[in-house]
Amino acid sequence: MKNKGQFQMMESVMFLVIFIILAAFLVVLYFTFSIDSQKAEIEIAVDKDSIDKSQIIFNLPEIKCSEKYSNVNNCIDLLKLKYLEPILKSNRAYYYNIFGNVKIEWEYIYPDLPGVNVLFDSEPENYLRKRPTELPVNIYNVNTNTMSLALLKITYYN
Amino acid sequence: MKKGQTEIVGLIFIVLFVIIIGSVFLLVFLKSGDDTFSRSEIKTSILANKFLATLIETEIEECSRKSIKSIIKDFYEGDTQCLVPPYDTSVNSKEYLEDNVFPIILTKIFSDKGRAYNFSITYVKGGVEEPPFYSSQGNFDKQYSTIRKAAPFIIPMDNPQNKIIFNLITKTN
Repeated sequence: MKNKGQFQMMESVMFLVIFIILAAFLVVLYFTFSIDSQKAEIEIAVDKDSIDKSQIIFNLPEIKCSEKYSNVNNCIDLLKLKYLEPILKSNRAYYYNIFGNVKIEWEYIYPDLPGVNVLFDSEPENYLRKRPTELPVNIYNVNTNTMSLALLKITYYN
Repeated sequence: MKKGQTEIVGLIFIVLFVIIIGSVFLLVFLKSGDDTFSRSEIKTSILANKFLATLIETEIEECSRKSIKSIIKDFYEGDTQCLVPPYDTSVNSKEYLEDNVFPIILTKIFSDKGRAYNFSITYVKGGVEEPPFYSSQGNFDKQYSTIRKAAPFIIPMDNPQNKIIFNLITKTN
């Protein structure tokens, strides 16, 4: 170093360089956490939507048991379920507004009958996230007067 | 070391200290968001609770179309037989559920779907727990990300000191 002035200048420059590096590190740290946090919030919102949709579908008055089994909380009337299928097809736009992009399926658990029945399918061609929810339900068959066990599967697409 | 250099070093230490404290605060703040239940936990919890609620209402055609709840209740009240059609063959209701009902249900809802379970039905007589009416586990030793216990389902008996308790713990990924 030639003189005191140059040395002081170098000190200031060094201080500024270190300060800028530290500030840049802080900014990167902040944005990294911020982006992760936003991603997590989107995932939580999608999760919440999927659970909300499954509860809406599960509690549809169109399929709930009435009369004798109206007090059974998780009861679905098989006859109503069978009649709902054509109604869902003919009023697709109305039910799409309520359900959104979902696929509703159900299968018997006990008695052990084979096959999966698709009730409503609005699976989009392209989606980012897929959230399946499975709910055990009782299926009441008014013709045989029996209460079976089934699994209602609601897949939500976002 | 000159006075100016000492000041700069001191300043850098202060800045570093602030950054470290800030980072720690930021991490603690972001970590606090993990207290909320995850989707998997909520769904597993709903599944476990609904499973018990629907299981007890399920009717067994081969046991005079009685619900599982009624079959077990009748078993402890002395009616231990199921009349299996078409010839109304008399079989022990406990054995019928053990061999022909519970394994199918538990396999289709839990094992086939990649879930683990620990399911039991116990009878409490006069406040004392008897050996389980039924107890079964599936893949319960394996590691899963989510574990939830359903609220025990209690079926009261005519004698208020006696009750049937359904328990379920399930694990999912």
